[in-house]
Amino acid sequence: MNNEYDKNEKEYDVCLLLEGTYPFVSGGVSSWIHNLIKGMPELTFTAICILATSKEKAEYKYEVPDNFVDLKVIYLHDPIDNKKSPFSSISKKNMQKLRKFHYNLDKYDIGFMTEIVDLFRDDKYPLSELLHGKKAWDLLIEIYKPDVNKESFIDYFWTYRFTHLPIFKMLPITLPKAKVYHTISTGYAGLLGVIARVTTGRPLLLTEHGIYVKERKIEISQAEWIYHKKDERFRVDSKLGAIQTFWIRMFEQLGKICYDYSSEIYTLYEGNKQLEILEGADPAKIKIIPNGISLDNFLGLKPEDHDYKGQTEFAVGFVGRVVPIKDVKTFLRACKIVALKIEKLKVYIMGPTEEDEEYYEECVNLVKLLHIEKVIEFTGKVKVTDYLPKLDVIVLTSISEAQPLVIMEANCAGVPAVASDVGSCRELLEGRTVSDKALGPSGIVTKVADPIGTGEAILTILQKPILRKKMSLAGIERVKTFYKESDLNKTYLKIYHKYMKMEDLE
Amino acid sequence: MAGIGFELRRMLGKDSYLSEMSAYLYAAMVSSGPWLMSVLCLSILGLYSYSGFSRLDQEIFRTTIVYVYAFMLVYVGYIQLVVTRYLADKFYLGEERLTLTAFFSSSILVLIVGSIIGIGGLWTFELTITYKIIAVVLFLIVAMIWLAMIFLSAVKDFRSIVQAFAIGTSISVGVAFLLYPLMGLDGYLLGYTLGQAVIYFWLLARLLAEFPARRVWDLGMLSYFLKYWELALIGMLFNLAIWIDKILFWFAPDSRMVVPYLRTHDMYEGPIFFAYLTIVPTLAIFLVKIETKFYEHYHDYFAKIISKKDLSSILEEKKGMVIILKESLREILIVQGSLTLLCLFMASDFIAIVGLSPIQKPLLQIALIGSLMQVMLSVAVIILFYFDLRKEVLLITLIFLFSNAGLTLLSMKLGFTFYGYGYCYSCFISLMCAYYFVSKSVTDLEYITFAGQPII
Repeated sequence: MNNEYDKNEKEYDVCLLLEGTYPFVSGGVSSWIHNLIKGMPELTFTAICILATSKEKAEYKYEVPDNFVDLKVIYLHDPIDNKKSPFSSISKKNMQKLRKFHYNLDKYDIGFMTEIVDLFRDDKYPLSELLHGKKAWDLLIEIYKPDVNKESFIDYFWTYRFTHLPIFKMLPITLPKAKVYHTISTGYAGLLGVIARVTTGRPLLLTEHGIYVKERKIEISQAEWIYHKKDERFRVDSKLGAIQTFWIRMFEQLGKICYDYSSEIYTLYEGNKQLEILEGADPAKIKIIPNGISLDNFLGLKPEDHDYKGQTEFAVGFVGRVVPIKDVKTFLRACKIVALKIEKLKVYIMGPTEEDEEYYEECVNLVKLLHIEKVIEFTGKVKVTDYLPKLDVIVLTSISEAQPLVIMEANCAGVPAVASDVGSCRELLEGRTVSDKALGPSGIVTKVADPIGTGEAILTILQKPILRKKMSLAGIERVKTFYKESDLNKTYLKIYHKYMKMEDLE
Repeated sequence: MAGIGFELRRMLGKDSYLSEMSAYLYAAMVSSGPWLMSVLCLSILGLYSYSGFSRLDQEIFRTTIVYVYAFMLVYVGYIQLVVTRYLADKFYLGEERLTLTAFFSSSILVLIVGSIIGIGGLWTFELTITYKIIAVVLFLIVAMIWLAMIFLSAVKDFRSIVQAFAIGTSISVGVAFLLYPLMGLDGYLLGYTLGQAVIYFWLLARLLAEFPARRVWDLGMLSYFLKYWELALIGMLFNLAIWIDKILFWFAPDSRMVVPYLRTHDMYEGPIFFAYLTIVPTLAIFLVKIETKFYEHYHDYFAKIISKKDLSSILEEKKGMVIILKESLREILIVQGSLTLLCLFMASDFIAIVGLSPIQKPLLQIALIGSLMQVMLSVAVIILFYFDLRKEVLLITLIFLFSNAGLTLLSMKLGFTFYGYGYCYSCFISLMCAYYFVSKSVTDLEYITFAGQPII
C-alpha cells in the first residue's frame, strides 16, 4: 500500500485533516487544535486544510507552533482544470464499480473502498468523463428515477454536481505521509481520512466536537436557496424536499464511512455519543474525551477563606451573548423570583448585546416589566475573570450547548452553577463517571426554559451556605481531576503513541 | 438565422394566405441571398444578349461574376456565423445598440482583407486594368451586401432586403445593357456593379436608420472570433466545400481558359448552377417550418427545464419536438423530392429552354439529386446549430470538403460520364453523417444540454 510514496518523503507523526477551521478560522475547535499541537512539542504535525474557495483570503488566525509544519490547503469549490481527452473513457467494468459505489457507499467494505480510491488515483475515472461523460450521465438518470421522480430535474442535476464535485476532487488527492491520520470532523475532511486510511494503511482517528451530520441537517433544512416545490413549502409538516434529502443523505453517507474507517472515535460527552451511534457509528469505538481548560487562569479566584455563612449580599452571573439561543428571558424571569426573596442581589449579564439588537431590546423591556432594573446590569463584553471572584452563582439557560466553557471556568473558579439540561451540562455539574459523580454536584441542573425551576435552584444555592461551599470545592476538584488541559493532552498523546506504533492495517 | 423565426411567426400569425406567401418569399430571399440573385441576373443577361455582344465578352463577364460570388461566399463565410452568433447573443441581452458598432468593425475587416484578396486574386488575369478595378470593387460590394444582410436579417427587416434586391437587380441589368455600347465589356461590368452598389447602399441606409451610430470598434465582437473559432472555420470551409468541385473543374483537363488565367468549365458549371436553383422552394419551406414550429417546441423544452419541471415532463416535451422535426424533414423530402423528380423527368425540355447541350442531361440529373441532398444537409446542419454542436458541424464540414474534393478528382479521372457523381456522393456521405449526428443529438438531447454545462 505504501508503494505510491517516495522512500525519501518526509514522514510526519500526525496528519490532521481539518475542514473550515484551524488555523484560518478562529473558534472553539480551532483553539482546541491549537492547544493540542502546542501541548505536544515532541510530535510533528502536518495538516490538510479544506477551505471553501481561494477567493476568500486565507489568513492565519493563530500563531502556529513550530511543530506544525507544511500544511496543505485544498479549496473545495474552486473551479477545476478539466481537460477533456477524447481517448479517456470509463470502462464498463469500472462503471459498474462506480454504480456499486453509489448504491453501497454506506456499507463498510474496506477492499471495495480501496479499489474505488485506487481507480480515482489511476485516472480510470477521469474527472471530465465523470462530469461530462455519457456513461456517468446514464448513471445519474438511473439514480434520479425519471419514472417516479417528480422533483425539478435542473435542481437535481446541479445538486448532483455540487455534491459530487468536491468528492471527485478529494478522491485523487495524495496525502502527506504520516504515522497517524486524525480528522476533526466527518464530512469532506472525514472522506480525506478514509482515503488516507485505505491508501496508506495507517490508522485513522476521528474527534467530533459537534456532530457534523446533525449540523449539516440543520443548515440544509433551513437553507432557503435549496429548491423546494412551492406546495411543499407551505405544507404544515416540515417534510424536507427531495433535493434537501439528497444533500443530507450524502453527508450521512460521508459520516458513516468515516465512522467505519476510523479506528477510534472521540467526542466530548455522552449526548454526542448517542447521536453518533444514531448516525451509524459502532458504539464500541466511541470514547468520550471531554475538553480541558487551562487551570492557571481560574484556579483560586474564589478565596479559600471566603465566608459563606456570614454572607448577606449576593451576586449572580450570566455569561453569554444576549441572543435567543441563550434564552436570556428565562434567566430574567428566574432573577425576579430570586429578587423577591433576597434583598441585596446583583445580577451581571456578561456578554455582547449588539449581535441581536431586537432581542436585547426585548430583554431590556422585560427587565422594566419585572421591575428589576436595580438588580440587573448588562455589562457588555467583559473579561469573565474580573467578575468571577465576586460571583456566588453562575447561570446558564441555553437552549442548546455542547460542552460549555462557561461552566468549566465556573467550576474551576469555585463558583457553583445552575444550568439547563443541554449538551454536557449535567456531566459537568453532576459528574460523568462513577468517581466523578462521587465528588458530588458542583451545581444544579434545571429543565430548559423553566424560570421557576431556575429561580428555585439559584435560591437553593444562595440560601444554603454549606451546600454552596461543597459545590464550590466539588467544582474545583472536578476540573482539576477530569478537565485539565494538560490531562487532555496526555490522553491524546497516549492515543497518538499507541496508533503511531501500530503495524500497517490491511 | 438567429432572429428570423420571430418575424416569420408574426407574419404567419396573421393567418392569411397572402401573409403566408410573403413569409415564404422572404424566407427564400434571406436563405438564398445574393447568390440566387446573381444567377437570376446572369440568366437574364444571358437570355437577352445584346446584339454585337461577343461570345468572348459574354464568357469573361459570366466567369467574372461566378468567381466573384464563389470567392466572396467562401471569404465572407468566416465572418457570417460568428457575427450571427454575436448578434443573437447581444439581442438576447437586449443590447441592440451595439449592432452598428459591430457592423462597422466587421465592415472594416471585410474591406481590408477583401481588398488584399481581391487585388491579389485578380491581378494576374489578362484583362484591362479598368475591368480589374471594377471587378475588385464588385467583389467588395457583394461582400458588403452579404454582411449587411446578416445584420438586417438579425433585425428582421426582410421587406427592405427584398425591395433592395428587386430594385438593385433591375438597375444592374438595365445599366449593363446601357453602358455596353459606350464602354464595351468594362461598361457592362460597371453597369452590373452599379446595380449591386444600389443594393448595398439601400441596405446600409436601412441599417443606419435603424440604429444610432456609435463607436467604430467593437472589441467584444472581435473576441467572438477567438471564442467561436469553430464557427469561423465552419462558415468558411462549408462554403468552400460547396464550391470545391466547381473550382477543381476549372482545372480539369477538359476545362477552358477564357483569358489567362480566367478558367471555366462550361460542361460542368451550367447544369450544376441550374440544379441548384431547384432548392429555393425547399429552403423557404424549411425556414418557415423549422424556425417557427420547431423553434416553439425547442423553446418549450428549455422552458420546462428552467421552470424546474421533472424529467418525465421534459422528455414529454422532447417527444413533441422530435415529432415536429420528423414531420418537417418528411415534408421537405416530399416537396423537394417531387420537385427534383419532376425536373429529372423534364430534364430534356429544361436543357432546351436554358440552352444547355443534350449531352449534359445526365450531369443535370445527377446534379439535381446532389442538390436535393445538399439542401437536406443544410437543414441538418442548422438543426445541429440549434443544439450548439459546433464540433460536430465542423466535422461534417470537413467530411463534406474532403469528400467533395476527393470524389470530384476521382470523377474527373473516370471521365465525362462520371461528372457530377463526385459532388452527389459527397453530399450523400455528408448528409448521412449529419443525419447520424442529428438523430444522436436528439436522442441524447438532455445529456447534451446538461452534461456539457461548464462547472460553475
